[in-house]
Amino acid sequence: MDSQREGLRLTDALRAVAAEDGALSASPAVEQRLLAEVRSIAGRRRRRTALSTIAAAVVAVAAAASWTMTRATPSRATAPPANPPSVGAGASPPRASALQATPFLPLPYSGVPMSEGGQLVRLEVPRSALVSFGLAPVDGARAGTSDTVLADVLVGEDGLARAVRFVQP
Amino acid sequence: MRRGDEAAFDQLYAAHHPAIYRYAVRMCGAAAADDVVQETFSALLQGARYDPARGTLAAYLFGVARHHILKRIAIADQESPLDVDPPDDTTPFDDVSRGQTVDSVRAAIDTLPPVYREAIVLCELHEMDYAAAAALMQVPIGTVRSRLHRAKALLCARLAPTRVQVKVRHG
Repeated sequence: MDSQREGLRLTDALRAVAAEDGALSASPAVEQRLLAEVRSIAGRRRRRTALSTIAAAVVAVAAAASWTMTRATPSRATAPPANPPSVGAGASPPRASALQATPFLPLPYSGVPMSEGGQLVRLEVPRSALVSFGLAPVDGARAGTSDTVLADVLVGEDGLARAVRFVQP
Repeated sequence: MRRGDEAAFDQLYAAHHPAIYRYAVRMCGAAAADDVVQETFSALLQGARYDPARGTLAAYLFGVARHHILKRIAIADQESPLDVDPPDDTTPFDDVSRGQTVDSVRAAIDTLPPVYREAIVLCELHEMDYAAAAALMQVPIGTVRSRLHRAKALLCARLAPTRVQVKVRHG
């Protein structure tokens, strides 16, 4: 009986301790230190975002410049392929032509979803690039005159290239 | 919050830090409790993974806090011996006022070995249910019950002499 009474009194006392402890909280200095950490994270994030934007802009400008140069060189630049790209939506292919082209080959990081829009950019790439995609550079012997091949690169609005196809000159 | 959103942090901190602080105060003392709170929330800011499918955010924060608390207890080696004074025949709460009781109970909790102290702090002071306490302590529910029972017995035993030892609380 006594132990039961003791138990009840202890429970009562523990509730009283809990009630008094309810007013306890960490010192304001802790919150200030954590807030400083939050602000530091926000700053790092802003810098990262700015760098990513700059990098994307550089890629886009470089791609646009390459495209312009390719178009401006009649001997190198050929008319765009007939088949529109099947990767991504909203890409605007160069003008149609009767050139033969490989299917679009996804690039290693092309798992990044393609947002609306994008561009098809025609570039000259080293013929050895064919090998890295598992395509034998069989055209090299026939072409003979160039160490480069034409490639259509599908570039998303974020500046990331998603897929490439090689065009047979 | 991990994106540096101050408003989100304020909200989360205000909602959860008092409980974490009280847990830490009872487990490793007021001096270390501030550090435990900071380490717990800092871990969250630094990218510690919280998976809502595995439990509530409160339980997750208690888990992180517990990790830091146990590290501090291990370093400080604050464990008290398990042997206790035999209780006398009278009820330890008979002759003390409520204020004195709170003080003496709080002091008695602080002297409990960590495993029993944790059971009392979580199940009695934080009113955590046995299942949640068991998950946090990583022991079966039966172990929580037995630790709690043992903790209460130890408290009663340790509070017995307080009839003559406690200071009178002023104000």
